[in-house]
Amino acid sequence: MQLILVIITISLALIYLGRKSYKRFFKKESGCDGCGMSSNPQENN
Amino acid sequence: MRIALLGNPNTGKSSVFNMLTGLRQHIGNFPGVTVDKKFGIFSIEKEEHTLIDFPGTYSIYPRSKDEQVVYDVLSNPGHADFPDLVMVVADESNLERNLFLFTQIYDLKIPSILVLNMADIARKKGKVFDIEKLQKRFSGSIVVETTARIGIGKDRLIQAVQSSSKNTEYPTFLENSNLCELGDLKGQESEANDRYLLIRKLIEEVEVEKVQKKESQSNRIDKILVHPIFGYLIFAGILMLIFQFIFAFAAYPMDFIDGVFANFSGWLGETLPKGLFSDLLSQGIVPGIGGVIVFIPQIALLFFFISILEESGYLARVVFIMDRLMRPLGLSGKSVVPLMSSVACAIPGVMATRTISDWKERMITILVAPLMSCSARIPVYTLLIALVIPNEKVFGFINLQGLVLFGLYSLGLISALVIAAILKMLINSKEKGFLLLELPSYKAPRWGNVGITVWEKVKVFTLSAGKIILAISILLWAMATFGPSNTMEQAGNKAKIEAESLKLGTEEKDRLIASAKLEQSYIGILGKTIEPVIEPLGYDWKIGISLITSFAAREVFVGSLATIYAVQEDGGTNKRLIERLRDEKRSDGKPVYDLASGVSLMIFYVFAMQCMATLAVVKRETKSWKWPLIQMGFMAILAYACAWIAFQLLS
Repeated sequence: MQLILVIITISLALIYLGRKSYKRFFKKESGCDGCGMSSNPQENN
Repeated sequence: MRIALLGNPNTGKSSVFNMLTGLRQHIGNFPGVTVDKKFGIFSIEKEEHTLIDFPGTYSIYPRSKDEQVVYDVLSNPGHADFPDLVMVVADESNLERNLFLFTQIYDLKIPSILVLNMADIARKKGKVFDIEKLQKRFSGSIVVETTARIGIGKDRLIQAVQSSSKNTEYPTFLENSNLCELGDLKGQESEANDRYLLIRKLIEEVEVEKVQKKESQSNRIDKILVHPIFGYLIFAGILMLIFQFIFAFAAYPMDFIDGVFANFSGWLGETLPKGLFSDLLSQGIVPGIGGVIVFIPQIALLFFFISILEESGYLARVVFIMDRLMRPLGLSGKSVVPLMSSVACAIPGVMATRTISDWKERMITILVAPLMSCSARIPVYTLLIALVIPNEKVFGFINLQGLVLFGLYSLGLISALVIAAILKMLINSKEKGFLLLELPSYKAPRWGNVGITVWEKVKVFTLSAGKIILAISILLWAMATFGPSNTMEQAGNKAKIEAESLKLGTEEKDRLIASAKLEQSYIGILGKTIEPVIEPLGYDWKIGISLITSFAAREVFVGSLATIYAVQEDGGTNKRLIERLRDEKRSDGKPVYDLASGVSLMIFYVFAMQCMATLAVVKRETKSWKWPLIQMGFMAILAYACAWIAFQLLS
């Protein structure tokens, strides 16, 4: 049972990172995940 | 109805936007360009209206990619975003300059509302206008007075939207004012001169109370804060003070959080039934996440201080004095805002370079922006500083650890300036850039805003970065727990025999076995493979693994170390990460984390491009892989060379 849970967790982690990388490099919109700032540079008013 | 929200920068445009749309806001892109389109929905008597927030601009004629959107949309009635109504937000305390944009739009004969915002500040400055006269002059358009920051004028604005009509006749403000071609600079200049003449005349007619001529308090303060010498000294002093406070105040909550996670991890190891998933929880997930959560107090404190500086109006002065510093180095004033934004995070910094119209200038700024020390470096710096820099006082009152943190931030800034100056010499740029900056009046910070800023930053840091760290911690644990066929088992048995021959205690024996197994795991094999490359910098293979994983985001470095050392100790004792790192020894018995290797690591993180998200944004902004790869290359060489020099000098 524990092994199945581990396999599921690792698969989810792999899918999440793969999806994140794909979105970062190949999709248009991009924000900032690794830091504490908004992705919208127009927020200056 | 589609309503365009326009205005000069810093006129409270976002306050008007928030006041009307509340939480019904979305972010998209203008068609064909990468400029963000913020739009929101609001309803009046069940009729829905879309409000599009356009980039702030002083004129309809663009000086940057952002401002180009305004020209492209308004000059083309067939454009998908061409508005039914334009709402021009003007700073009432600065009406002359703000009316320039409005009169340009008025002359385009698009239905419009002139929102005289910041009415409270205008009153304080002694500026009162005859709104009726102004309304008569701009017949067809509707003039509304608001103080959107505190929600005053919303009803008037909604009424104005309701009563606006497409079929109104618009007289011309400036005769023969057809929209100039973008390249027709002479035509634009002549139009600006004529327009300003008329605006000045109009202001004289509608101004009820004249401006008090006595020098304002802000101007008096500015004589010191933007002084060519004292300005920099005061700025350096403020930064020093912030870093001192960060180290002095964050230590207590950090110790508490660290202790909670260490105990929780130990409790999980003891309580859960033995098995792989229990190990994953106690050795992978909890230490990995805990290693980052522990830095929340420092992140919160940093943004607390930055937010106070911003709210008080001081940050605009910093931009001003930095502009003066950058000009002799050949940098455009427009590079200042992106570089200063990069202190929080390089991503909005890189995106803010869109305001730089010259391509080469923009490229240089993009290339050096990640050298400015961002908030993601804080966990790495503070962990290493606490590890290798003694907690002593310099001159009896300056905390040495805070001083080192200040030094690392300064090193990032100086290296960004020096490299920008070198690149400027290598790349020939014709344009002389300029910085158009409005210095707001000094005011007491609004604590509600400070609180919201801190909360937002901490939330993004914890949730977004936390998810990546969680995923990487899981994978790291898996790679540290599994290895090729029987090699881990054999290494474990060998270590067991060795421990028995050395007559080690149970705890030391378990540690030796777990450590031997870790070296034969997939991560151990990978780490040992890259170890020869990083050995000259004073790093062992575990640091090497953390350097690789922190390419996803710099703070992952800390989470990775936490996971690797938790696996190495087989969960074992409830030690805090910093204690585990202090106990880590090389084969010759010397500590792995000493002054030389610690400083070398800090220097490495000052220069290295350890951020996948920034690379992705650079690729998006430059529309090619060439520039992010060049950037990563030169930063890696710089990081390696400087870290090597630091290690050789100190060891």
